[in-house]
Amino acid sequence: MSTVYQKIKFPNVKEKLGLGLGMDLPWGDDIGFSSKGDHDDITLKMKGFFQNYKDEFNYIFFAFQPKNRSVLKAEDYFDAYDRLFEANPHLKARAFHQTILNMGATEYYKKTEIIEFTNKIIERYDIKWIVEDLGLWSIKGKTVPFPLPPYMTPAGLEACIKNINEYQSELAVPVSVEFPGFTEGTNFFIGEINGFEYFRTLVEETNSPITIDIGHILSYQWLLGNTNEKMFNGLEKLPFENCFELHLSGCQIIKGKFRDLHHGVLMDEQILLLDYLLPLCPNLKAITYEDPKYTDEGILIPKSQKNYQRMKEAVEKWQMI
Amino acid sequence: MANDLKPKNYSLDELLYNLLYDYQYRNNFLNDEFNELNLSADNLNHIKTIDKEELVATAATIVRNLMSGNIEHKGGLRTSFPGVFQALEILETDITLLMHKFLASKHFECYMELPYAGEGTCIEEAFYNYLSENKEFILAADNNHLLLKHEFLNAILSILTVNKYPFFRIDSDLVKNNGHIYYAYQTYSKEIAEALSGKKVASDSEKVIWLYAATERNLIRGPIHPSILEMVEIGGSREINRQQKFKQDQIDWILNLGLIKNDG
Repeated sequence: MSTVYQKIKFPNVKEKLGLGLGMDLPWGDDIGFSSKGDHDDITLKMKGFFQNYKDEFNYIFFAFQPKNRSVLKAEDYFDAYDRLFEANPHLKARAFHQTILNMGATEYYKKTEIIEFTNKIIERYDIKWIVEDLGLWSIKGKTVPFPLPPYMTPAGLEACIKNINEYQSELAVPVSVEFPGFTEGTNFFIGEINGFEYFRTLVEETNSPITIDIGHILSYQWLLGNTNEKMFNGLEKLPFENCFELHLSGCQIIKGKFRDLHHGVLMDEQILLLDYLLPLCPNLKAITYEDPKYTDEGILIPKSQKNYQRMKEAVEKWQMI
Repeated sequence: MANDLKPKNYSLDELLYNLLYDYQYRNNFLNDEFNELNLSADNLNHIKTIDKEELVATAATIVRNLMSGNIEHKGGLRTSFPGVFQALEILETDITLLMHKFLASKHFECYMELPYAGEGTCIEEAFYNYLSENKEFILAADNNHLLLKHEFLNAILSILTVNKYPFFRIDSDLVKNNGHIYYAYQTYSKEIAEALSGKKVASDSEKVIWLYAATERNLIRGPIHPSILEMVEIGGSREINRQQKFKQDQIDWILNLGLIKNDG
């Protein structure tokens, strides 16, 4: 076991979890939470999907979406989250995708409420890890439409390290820091430090486990001009030993721009990169299919089927090693 | 300019905030007017990587979300202020420009979207405050200010019906709390009250009190008798009963509606 490995504060997950499910669950959407009077639930469409695919996913994470404009109180969310997990009794692990840690912020903001809220969710649902894209989710108390990458500057890096250290020390489980999205068509970034070097420095300084979102990596490569056969260039700079989780969500190239659309349809390039990364990440435990799209009957949409199967086969092969 | 009068250079956060929300500052950047940006040499270097097309697209998305959605699912200012937006259209106002100006205003800066990020108003109050100062809109028609105020009160009391413990600050002195519920009232001419309710209003007076109230279960709004308002302002049945001047059926009625506390 390497000294680097010993320093990394990995989630308490001993065995490979294999394939898991990641879901953004806004309130009021057909894939999301519903609220009727005092009763919160997941939608029927979701229940059908969980039933149909119960043998295919071994863990789940869901992303935090605010329910209302009340003071942040974990108890307000228990009813909905209870229903979500009741519909998935077979899962081996649960994770929570936060959206309010705002780890890229250089401005001061109070973290007490966020930490208290998150720890209550961790405790009630035996959450094994927290994940959030490294980036700017809000500024001066206002959310941005899509998370922006952190400031790619020395001061931005220093702020990320400070924020992450605070969360790692105060949260009851580790935060797996997700490589930021540099997706064209949704965001832009400030500063000139190379993204892979930035990320490496950051996780070395904080000993954090990381999540590599394959679409985020490809989108960054596309921005750098590393398209097609050049898509593996420079990846050796990533801290593979820290990698605990991979994310795959539906992406598409539109007019030469790489878009992280979360529409459920994986690109061939994502499967190629998955195959490339699997043997390089010795501490990888979890591979998440993020935001699948399915019919009202809970069946994955036809366009997503082919590469979903390819991803599943790659994960199964990796799990057997 | 003497050094001590020189404005402090913007930090990275201030720079990003300005680029996203201050359309004039953003235009300066888009037009390469770097002297106008008030940035250190380092930060001037950092902004070179910004994709201008994406910045403009992000700013446009912010405006679109504020106007038409993403606030409580399908909300947006157009939903909260339907009559106001209709009046703006009649005035042939450039609504997108108006929204960009709103985003650059001190009122928008006071708005707080997130519960943990500090104190601030809700977006509806920020917009109400902003438009209240817009003379072109306010003076264009006699009832524009009244309409703006009415739609603001409808919106904020609706929000308070759902959010009993709002994280945002309520600055407006139009919104009151009687120790049991949030409420507001306005005095309208009978003609306006009838237009708002869409039917005849039974009142001997030419002036009608219009109540907006966020009870435990519902948003209650409509014309009320002055004695009802008096009881709502007292807030609890014990004090109302002690004063012995209100009719029992009226007390029972407002207790049943949840407008006052049942404290004896």
